[in-house]
Parts: sequence; structure tokens; C-alpha cells
Amino acid sequence: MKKWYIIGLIGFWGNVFSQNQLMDTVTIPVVSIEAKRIELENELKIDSSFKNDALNQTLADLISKTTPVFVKSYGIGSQATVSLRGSAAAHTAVIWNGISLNSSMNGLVDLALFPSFFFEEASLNLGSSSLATSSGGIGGAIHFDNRAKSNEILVLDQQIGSFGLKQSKIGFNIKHKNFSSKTKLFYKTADNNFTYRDIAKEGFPNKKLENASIHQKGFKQDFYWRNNDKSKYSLQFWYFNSDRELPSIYTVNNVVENQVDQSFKGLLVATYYYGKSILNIKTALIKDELNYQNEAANFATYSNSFSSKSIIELSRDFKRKINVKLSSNIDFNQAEHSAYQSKLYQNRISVYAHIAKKINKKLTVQLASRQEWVLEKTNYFLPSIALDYKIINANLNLFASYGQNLKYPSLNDLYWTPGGNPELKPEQSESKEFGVRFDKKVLDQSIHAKSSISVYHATIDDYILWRPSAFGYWMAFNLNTVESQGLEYQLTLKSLKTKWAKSLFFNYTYSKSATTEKVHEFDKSVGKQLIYIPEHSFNLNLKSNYQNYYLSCNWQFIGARYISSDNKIFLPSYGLIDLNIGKTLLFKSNAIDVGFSVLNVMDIEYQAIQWRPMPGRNYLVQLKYKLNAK
Amino acid sequence: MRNKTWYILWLIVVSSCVGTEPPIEQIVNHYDVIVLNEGNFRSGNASVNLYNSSSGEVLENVFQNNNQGRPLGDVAQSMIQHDGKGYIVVNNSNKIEVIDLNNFKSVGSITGLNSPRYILPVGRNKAYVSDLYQDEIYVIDLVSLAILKKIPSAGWIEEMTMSSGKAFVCHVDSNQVWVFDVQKDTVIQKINTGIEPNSIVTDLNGNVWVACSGGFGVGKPTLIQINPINYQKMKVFEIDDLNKSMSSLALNPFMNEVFFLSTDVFKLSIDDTVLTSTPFIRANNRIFRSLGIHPSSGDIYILDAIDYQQLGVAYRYDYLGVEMANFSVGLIPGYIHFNL
Repeated sequence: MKKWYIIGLIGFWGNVFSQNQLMDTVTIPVVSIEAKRIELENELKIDSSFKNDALNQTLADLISKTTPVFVKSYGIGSQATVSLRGSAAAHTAVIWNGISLNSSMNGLVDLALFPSFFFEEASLNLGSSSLATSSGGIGGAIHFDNRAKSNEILVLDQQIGSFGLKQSKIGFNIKHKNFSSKTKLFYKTADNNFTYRDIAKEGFPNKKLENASIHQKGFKQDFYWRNNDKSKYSLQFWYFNSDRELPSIYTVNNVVENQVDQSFKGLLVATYYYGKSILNIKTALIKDELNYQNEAANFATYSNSFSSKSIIELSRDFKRKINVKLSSNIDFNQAEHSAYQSKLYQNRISVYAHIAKKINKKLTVQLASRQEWVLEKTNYFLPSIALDYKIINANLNLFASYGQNLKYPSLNDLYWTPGGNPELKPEQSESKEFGVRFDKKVLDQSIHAKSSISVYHATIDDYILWRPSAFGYWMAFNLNTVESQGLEYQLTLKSLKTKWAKSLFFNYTYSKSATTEKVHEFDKSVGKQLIYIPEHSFNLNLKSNYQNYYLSCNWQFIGARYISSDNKIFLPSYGLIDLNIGKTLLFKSNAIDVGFSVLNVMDIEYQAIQWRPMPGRNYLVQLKYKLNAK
Repeated sequence: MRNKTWYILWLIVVSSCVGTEPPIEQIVNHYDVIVLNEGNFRSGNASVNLYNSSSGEVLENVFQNNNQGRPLGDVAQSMIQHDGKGYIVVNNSNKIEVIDLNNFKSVGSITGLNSPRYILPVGRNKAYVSDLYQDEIYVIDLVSLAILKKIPSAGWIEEMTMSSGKAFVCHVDSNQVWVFDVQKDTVIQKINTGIEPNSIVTDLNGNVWVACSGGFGVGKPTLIQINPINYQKMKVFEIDDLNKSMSSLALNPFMNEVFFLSTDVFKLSIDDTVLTSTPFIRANNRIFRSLGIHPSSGDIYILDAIDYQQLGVAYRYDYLGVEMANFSVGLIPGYIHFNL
């Protein structure tokens, strides 16, 4: 069955390109995804070529279209949060160069605020493997990182699309001896005034979406300095401003809401090499502001948070068989909001240690623990173990892991007035995983095939839920236990022919996540899927380059999502197809890329969130100039 | 093989976007209990359920089913019945949907509102609409469904009642009940109450009862009886617990007993001088969020939203407080109206 499926997908892929006359000419470097687990980490690495794809403008787009992660988006340009392995959005750690960006106030990260242009690499840690960088990522962690290395001197990227989309990106890099500088400027504006069928009005008239415009601008500056082979340093500064109107749902007429997010991030990294030891010191300052306004209600809120986060990490290899890593995180968080009775502070310290040993050619074992202190409160010990067994002749690796994690309540959970509950305990999780991965060049070495399948089981105890209290308002409680289990399957096929490069990437996820305890006499949610988490989802990416032409296709399928906890109401499944074609012209060190994309090719009418209009078929033209180093 | 696979894959994609079938219209005769389900705020999933108190039958999602699949809106707040029509206030959809009560089909809507909460007929074809944010009371012509004018109110107005030809409205922000001359549409009196008056009814003798929540731990929940002629407070009852609330006033069919919610259900006679601390119906682990009393049978209906993410439940008790039945309602049930 599996064999048929793989053959089927190859057939589909073959058809796409065999029917396309654009494939008659030349080549650019192969776009690829590295679905490789690095050592024992359950890491899914996304190649930068996906990041540069015109279809993947934000971290939210990138993650939803190329990984097994479900992204819950409120609409084009609107808030987007993720669910990893059936967990809640606050259970996903979002890590920038090793620094956690989750808000101390609500635990969330809005991935629509991270342009793909601002980072070079992205990857996922699923399950307990996220503990290596921080606690809190019960479902896992999303990493996005910057790298000093670049082949580009100048990048000018202009995109124009439907609904008033204009997006400009400028990047210029300077390299002088051991010093390099990377500067990035970003500007985006869009009206997002697409036409939709208003199914909340009699006769279902066509309407244009109102109050949906978006204006974003950002600046990022990185400096890198390498001192021989003994040490290297980097300093990064990031400013981002997003001014979004919040469109109404179908059934609401005249709500005029607006949200302005502003963030400043600074990061200093020093890395020292002592023989086989590496010492890494990181310090980050992060300031986030959010202004929300509701004109009709004459209501506005302002929130402001500041964090200082530092990491000291020492790792050493012993005879290439043992790796030992010790690290410590020290976080100071401060937050202000009109719903807090005063300015709030929360300080946390954690120590992480792991030892990975290659027992023999086949078996590698990693033991790890994280000790977490929330100052003046309590501390937690979080052990984990991971195994990797290689079956050499079969090109198979078996892997398994067990780990404990915790998610400390956010400041809103603890101190929001009214309803915050200072007595809340952290949510504690326990997860187990088992899987197999395959990596081999097949069909006379013409196809590089990688595949992996893993099953997981996790429990979250003391799950935090807000529910009405006896006092007439909502309160946060440790109410329940959530049990998640599922399966993830990934397949990558890459043609190794250089003239006509073809590649296929497929991710399928089955995710079952449910509460296990009744919270009420008539509670019918026990054992039922949590709301807004699809049981089935997949994405398929097909990419091909022939000479200087390229074509890519993304097919994303999101299964039905229940929107009531008793699973009596659901939103139907939907599948979206995006296409991107283009040509790259090369003149010595210059490259001009002209691309054209069609999003939602099938013009599907769908609701990602109940009663929120989504755009139909829309278009994007991209003109990109690159000056590469000789 | 390749072509076959191609077609199968495309078929899967296309089939994933098949439209929904039109709903089947429901016959609504003989259903005397109307439950408005707020739905989740900003989710646009308000709905209407009906219950036949004789047979125990339930109809779900009646408005949407009887209006070609069109949803009711976002946050169904309250409802009145006037001249054979139902007026459903849909708070966050900024409208009042007017329906024919014989079939629940929409016959019009009052639009241009900000955040409407309650509607009160104050004349043959004239009604007041209170609002959360507008700082005004809308005066509506119930024939043309037009806004005739707006009366400045400087704050959030909740429930309203008529007594002695005057409108008494809960002015939440000022902790007062404001009294309006409904001919001139002017304020004629402001009566100080407890913290955050939210619910108001008129008893057998025309006296006005007001429930004040006490805010979020700011003051004690308070029940006040007001003389509609001289505006004097005839009785004031306080619950000696800052962490409690008070809401959802209702009268029995004889209009001589007042019921309200304060976690549990409490009851007192309009002649009582002491408020008993013993609940009439204990919530235990149930979460009572709204109550209504059947004007014929005197049965008490109480709504419970469970976890606010699943279909709620309605409990039915007889006039002695003995549980008779329960039935499933919609998402976040919040208001009961009796269609007689």
C-alpha cells in the first residue's frame, strides 16, 4: 500500500512537469528540503530554498506549507499560531538563535509577524527534544536562525500581488576579512480587500472585505566577527512594526479594530573554541509592545513587555564517542498591562545537561535533564532519554525517546484581573516517541529517498483552562489532563539528475488530542478531539528546475476541525493548491529572477476559523535581483 | 497509471471543497420555550433552540435552518415578543433580527446599532434599545424598523422595564437606575443603586426590582425594590460576600415572587423583609448563568454553558424547585424567552 502511494505521488509529480512546456530549458541550483534528524535530536530542518519561495512570506506560511505542523491563521496577514502534536499554541516554543520568543504575558508567538526574509534557517524540534533549548515546548519547538555565511552582496526583491499587496525587501551584505555585516530592510503593505460570498447575508451577496489592511516595516542588522579559529562574535538588532486592521467576521458589521505590534530585539553571541570544547554565551534583550483599539467600543489596551534572556552553554566531545553539554538559561521578564494591578516581574533560571554516547556503530544513547527554577516559587527536574539504533544494511534507523517537560503559567494566567489565578501549577507533560527513518539512494542512484515515520504519545497534567467561576467572571484553573497521540510521516524524493532537477516533499500528520476528565456533570468533551486541531493534515510540495526555469507546487490539506469540545460542530476540511513558476536570468554575478505565483488555484471557498472570510484565487508577481560574490 | 493517479489526486482535492446542502426548514409550532445561544464571542455562531414543554421535544439551530442557512450572528443577547413578532438582539452583529414567530423567518432587521443589549417596547410602535458602548439609548420605530432618535445616556445601559408609564433602565457605569419619560424621551430621575445594576423587573404592584452584581469584588451584590412613583428605595437586600454576583431577575406567573441568580437560585416574596441565605435551588457543580420562569406553569428554566466550548444544557425545575428534566441547548446559552 505504502509502495503504491509513493509510486502514486511520483506519478502525480511526473505529470505536473511533463504537461508543462516551460520545462524545456536550463537550470538553477536545486531547491531542497533536508528532513534530516541531526544525531539524536528529533529535528526537521527546512531548507532555505523553501524560505526564499515567493509562496512562503512569513514564518507561518513556511511552517504550514512545508512541515507537519498545523498553523491556525485568522486570515491573510492576521494572527497565526501553531499547534505541534495536538498541543495548544502556548505549548510551542518559538526560538530565535537559541532565544525563546514566547510572550511572558500569554505564552504565544504570532508567526505572522516574522518575515521569512529575516532569517536564514528554520527547523522544528518535535516532542521532548525541544528541551535542549528551553522548557515549555510541550508540543515541540520552532527554531529560526541567522547565519553569517552568505554568497550574496545585494538583494532587491519586489513583489506585487492581488488585494493591493506590495512587498519590498532589500538586503546588502558586507564582508571584510574576518568581519561581515548583513543589513535587511522590509516593507509590506496590503489592502486585503478581497471579494467573498457573504454567507451570513440573505441571498449570499458578494462583498469586499473591509478593514483588513496591513502595513509592516522592519529592519535587521547583523554584525559577525571571527577572531582566528579561537572565537567568534555576533551582534544582531531587529526592529519590526506591524499595523494591522482586524477585519470582522461574516456576522459582524461595523467593528473597526486595529492592532499595532512593535518589537525590538537585540542579541549578542560570543563563541569560544578550546580544543574539543565550545563555549557559547548569548544575551538577548527583547521588548514587545501591543496597542489594540476598538473604535466602536471606544476601547483601547496597551501592553508592554521586556525580557532579558541569557544562555551560557559549554559542550565537549570526547574521542568522538561522547558528547557532553551543560547550559544555563537566566531569564528576567517584566510586563505591563492595564489588566495587571501593577508591573509584573518573573525571573527564571534553568540548568540543562546532557550526555550522548555512541555505544557502538549501531547504538547511540542520550541522557539529558533540565532543572528549572522559577524564582521564589519552586523548581522542577525534567529528565529525558533518547536512543538511536542503526540497521546498517537496511539503511534504517530506529529511534525512541522519553521525556518530561513543563509549561509554566503565563503572567496572564497568573495575574490577569479579573480571573488570573496565582495558585496555578505548571502544566506538566510526559512524552514517548518511537520511529523509523530510511535514507537511501534508489533507482540506480538516480533518486535520493528519505522517509520517516514516528508515533508518539503524550500527556499533559494540570492543563490550564479558563472557565467561568462562581464569581461571575472567568478564571484560570488547572482543570484537566490532556492525552495526545499521533503519527507523523515524511517523505522526500530528490532527483539526482543535474539537468532536470525534481523533488517531492510530503508530510502527513495524524493527531488525536483529547481531555481525559469530566469537568462538569454534563461534560461531553472527554475523549473528544480538542477544538481547532485537525486529526488529519498533509502537505505536498513538488519542485522542479529545468535549466533556468523553475516550477513549484504546494498542496496543503487540512482535515475537518471540531469547533465545539463535544465534537458536535465542525468546520469541513479543505485543500489549497499554490503554484509558482519563474525564470532566473544569470549575467556573471548578477541574477534576475522573475516569478509568478497563483495562490488557491482552485479558488476554494473555505473557513480556517469559523465565519472568517478567506481569499479565493489570487496572484503574485515577483521581481528579484541578486548580486552574488564572485 | 500516471494519468489515473493524477485524476484521483485531483478528485480528492476537488471533493474537499464540496458545498454544504441547504438546511431543511423546521416546523416550529407548539414550541413554547425559546433559548438564545450566544455562541462564542467573535465566532458568529449564535443560534436559537426551541423546547416544547409538553412533549419535551427540542429543535436545534432554528433560525439558520429556517433562513436558508444564514447564521443568526455573533452573540445573541436577548429577545422580546411584540405584536406577533420576535425581536432578537444580536449584540456583536450590531443588529436586532425581527422574526415571524410562526416560522422563525426573518422579516427584517434593525441595523445601525453599536453594541445593542436589550429592547423594551415603550409604546404601540416604539421601543428603546440599550447599548454597551454607544452612550445613547436608541429610540426605534417598530413599524419601519428605523432609528427615530438617540437619547444621550453617558454610559452602558443593560436591562430595562416599564412601570407607571415610565421606563426604568439599569445604568451600569453610574450605579444608578435612570427613569425616562417615554413620551418626551427625557430623563426624569436618577436613582442610586448598588454597584453595577444589571437586571430589572416590575412586580405585581408595579414596584421595580433591581439586581446589582457588585462588580468584580468591588461591592456587595444588592437587590433593591424601588417605588415607581416617588422613586424611593423601599427595600435593600445585600449578600454579604464580595466574591458573589447577582443577576437574572425573574418573576413567577403571579408576579409576587422574585427569583435571581447568585451562583445558586434564590427566591423571595415581594412582601419579604429579609433575604434568606438558603438557596432555593443549589447549583452544586452546575454553572447557572441565566434563568427564566415559564409564565403559565411557573417552571424554572436555568441555562448552563458547561465549558463554553460545547453545547450547553438547560435544566427545568418545577415551582417547588424539584428538577423535572434537562435538555441540550446550543453553544453558550444565555437567554430564555417564552412564546405564548
